[in-house]
Amino acid sequence: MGLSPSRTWLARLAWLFFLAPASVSGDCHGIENETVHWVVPSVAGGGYDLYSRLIQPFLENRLNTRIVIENRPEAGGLVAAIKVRDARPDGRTIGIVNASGLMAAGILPDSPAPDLLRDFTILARIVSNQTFLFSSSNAGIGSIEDLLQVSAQRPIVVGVRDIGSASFLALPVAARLLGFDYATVTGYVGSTSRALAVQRGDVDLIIQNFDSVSRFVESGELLPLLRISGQDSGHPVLGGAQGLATQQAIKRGTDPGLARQQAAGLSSIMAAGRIIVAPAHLPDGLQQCISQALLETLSGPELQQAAALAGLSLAPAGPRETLADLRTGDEQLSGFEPLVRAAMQQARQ
Amino acid sequence: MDAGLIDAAIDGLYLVFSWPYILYPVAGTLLAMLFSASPGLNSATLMTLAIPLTFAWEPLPVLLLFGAFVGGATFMGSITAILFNIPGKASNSVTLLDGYPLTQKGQARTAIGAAAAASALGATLGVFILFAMIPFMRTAATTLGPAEYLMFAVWGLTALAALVGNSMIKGLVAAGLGFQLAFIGYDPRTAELRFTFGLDYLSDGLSLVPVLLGLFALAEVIDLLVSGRVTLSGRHKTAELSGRVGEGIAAVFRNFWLFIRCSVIGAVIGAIPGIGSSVAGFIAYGHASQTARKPAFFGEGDIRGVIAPEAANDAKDGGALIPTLALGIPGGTGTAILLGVLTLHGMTPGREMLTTNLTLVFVLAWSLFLSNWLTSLLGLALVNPLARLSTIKTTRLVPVILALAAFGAFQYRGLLADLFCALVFGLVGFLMKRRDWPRIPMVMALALAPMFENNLHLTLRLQELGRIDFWSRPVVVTLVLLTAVNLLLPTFLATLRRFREGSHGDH
Repeated sequence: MGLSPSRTWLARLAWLFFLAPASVSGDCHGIENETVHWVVPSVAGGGYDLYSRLIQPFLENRLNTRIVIENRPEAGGLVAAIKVRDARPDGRTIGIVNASGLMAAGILPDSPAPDLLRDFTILARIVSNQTFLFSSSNAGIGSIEDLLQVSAQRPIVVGVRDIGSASFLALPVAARLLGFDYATVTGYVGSTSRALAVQRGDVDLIIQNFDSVSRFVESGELLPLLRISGQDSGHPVLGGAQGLATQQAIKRGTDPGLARQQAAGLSSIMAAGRIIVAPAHLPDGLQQCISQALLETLSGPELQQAAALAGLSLAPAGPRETLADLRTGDEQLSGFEPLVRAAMQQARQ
Repeated sequence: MDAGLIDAAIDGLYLVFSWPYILYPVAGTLLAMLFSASPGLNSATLMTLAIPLTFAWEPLPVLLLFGAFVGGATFMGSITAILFNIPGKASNSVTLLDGYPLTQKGQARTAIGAAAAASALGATLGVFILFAMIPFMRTAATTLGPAEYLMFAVWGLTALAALVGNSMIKGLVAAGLGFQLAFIGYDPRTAELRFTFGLDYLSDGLSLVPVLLGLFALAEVIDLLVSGRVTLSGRHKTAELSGRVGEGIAAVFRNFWLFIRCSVIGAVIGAIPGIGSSVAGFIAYGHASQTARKPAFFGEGDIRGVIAPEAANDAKDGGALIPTLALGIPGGTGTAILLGVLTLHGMTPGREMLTTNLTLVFVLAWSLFLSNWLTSLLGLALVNPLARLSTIKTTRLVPVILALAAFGAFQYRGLLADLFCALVFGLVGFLMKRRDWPRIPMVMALALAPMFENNLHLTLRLQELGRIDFWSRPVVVTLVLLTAVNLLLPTFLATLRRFREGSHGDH
């Protein structure tokens, strides 16, 4: 049933006075009482999914929306990122991306990976990654010195998911800085399968985000040898691992200034973290409103408590800070591309 | 089993059956059955919906509820597989291979009876295998590497030889096609796209559920329409149906040794970290058809083709808890969500779970056990009204089956492309059926090829780098021997039979 002309006129007047100014001022009226699709790059029960399901009820209350979680784990999470990129920028589709994973996938020739800075509106960061080189307690490599000694006899064997993954990006850079030869074994899908590979002795090392293998580290089955990204969190089991940027870790004979700069560059890429994004060109008002709601949710005591119980780290950052970090990582990435591409080429042969 | 373990098992049993805690697994089972039987819904939907609702709960009721969700969903999918050729989940797909032909012969009640008995007893055996494995969980799960996984896949694939039907050439071509289809998507080693023709939909490969729904359910619907068959069973009244529930239950006991072997296969496959849940049923089915002594009619309505996958599927749930609880590696969607729920309630899989939280592990296992029995008993209670569906005119039934299959394909991931995929494979399946090309080898190759391919690459690379010695691994050698048995046993049995017939003829 349509409105009569006079009612239509009244409705337009009401929109002009009440609703239009509200949308210009940047609140969330555009998505209030609407369904927001939250796209997750992992299966139900996976790490990204757990964060999403923790955040979901709190964010629903703040935004007064219904959030539907959509799991799209295909192609290592690329399909999820593409789905968010291709959605309409109306605030009804947002998602989590693995920022360093997307950067790494972007180096592959003919990669379909979206560009983080060009294809998305950055809303917030949930947590940045603490990436480490891990060995196993029974592998005979308990320190960087052991690693270099073994490397003098034979290449160090490193387990990775595939050559488009973030750990594959970090490997050639870290190996050059530390001065060790390596051979890769690709095809270990999932962080737990990599943790088991190093425990079984299939490989000597893995490069991994601490959160995803924390239970193995806390039980002493994985040894953190070196911190590639993230600040020293003060976690007791991570205390022994020095940072890649420290002079002691870097190969003798390398220009220390340049090496530290490269180590910091790699750190900024690997730390990029779990980021909540919307399609590019999201209206400023909506971006501010959703970002604000996300930050308040992520910093809220209830969510912090629930995350602590689940053993999930939270270190929220707003869009400006996240974007600045991503830009730094992106600038550094171009410097590593020739080295990483050569390593990819070698691994494919 | 040490005293601590037995105490924890008894404490767990007491908690599950005590008031008011018993309500949680009962309610969980009923909900799981309801969701599994509703078109467009499944137990994974139920579990994800329940996560935020149970945030504030204590761990005990959460485990009771989610244990029942995992166990309660399996059997209902088997009923739709037997009656309509529609697998509720990928793991139920094997049951339809002989379950549906039994329905067409008017023996739906026998098939459902056998499925219910094999399912409940298989789950029981799976839970007891889980109990027995608890002290060795971590060692067992960390000992197996890519070489062992590769041989598990090879062992499963050798069962194809028994499933090729009348023509070996057609069977091998179908299996080759299944293999080729499995290579669609990202190369697990180099991350290069293969055979996707620029379609994003294909980037992660073909999903098994829409392919199965197409190849079997939709193909069957088309065949029903073309063949002009009046009812599914060819009978018009319930009284004309020949099968009985008791016959189905008795069949499990008549083939008890097969049932035990397939339950053990299910529990072992479930216990291997990271192997998809659909694999257990296929391997058990292949094993049953390979080792069948009496005249076998696998694919045409052999009751052993129902018993084997049902026993394996339900025993698998108990086995799958081993890597989930010991290492945090889920075997399928249900255990993946369960793992997430455990994490959200502060229970970390690993040593702590198997020491300080051992009673809760048993609570989960007993809840699984209870839900499997409840679903089977309720399934048996519903046999007669369900079997009556096979006497309804196909003109009335076909639109319902078509809607169920189409909605199931769409709802699985909410993708319209999955529906299209099911339609394409519906036509392929219909043509294969009409031309007498076997569909089973194609599906089995599609299910096992990803496991085979990834572990082949890993094994070759580890051998090349000198990190493993393939032939010095006891599990690998055992599996090589089992594979040889799989390949040689049918020929040996056939020769023996010919020899005996020959010697009888001489007399």
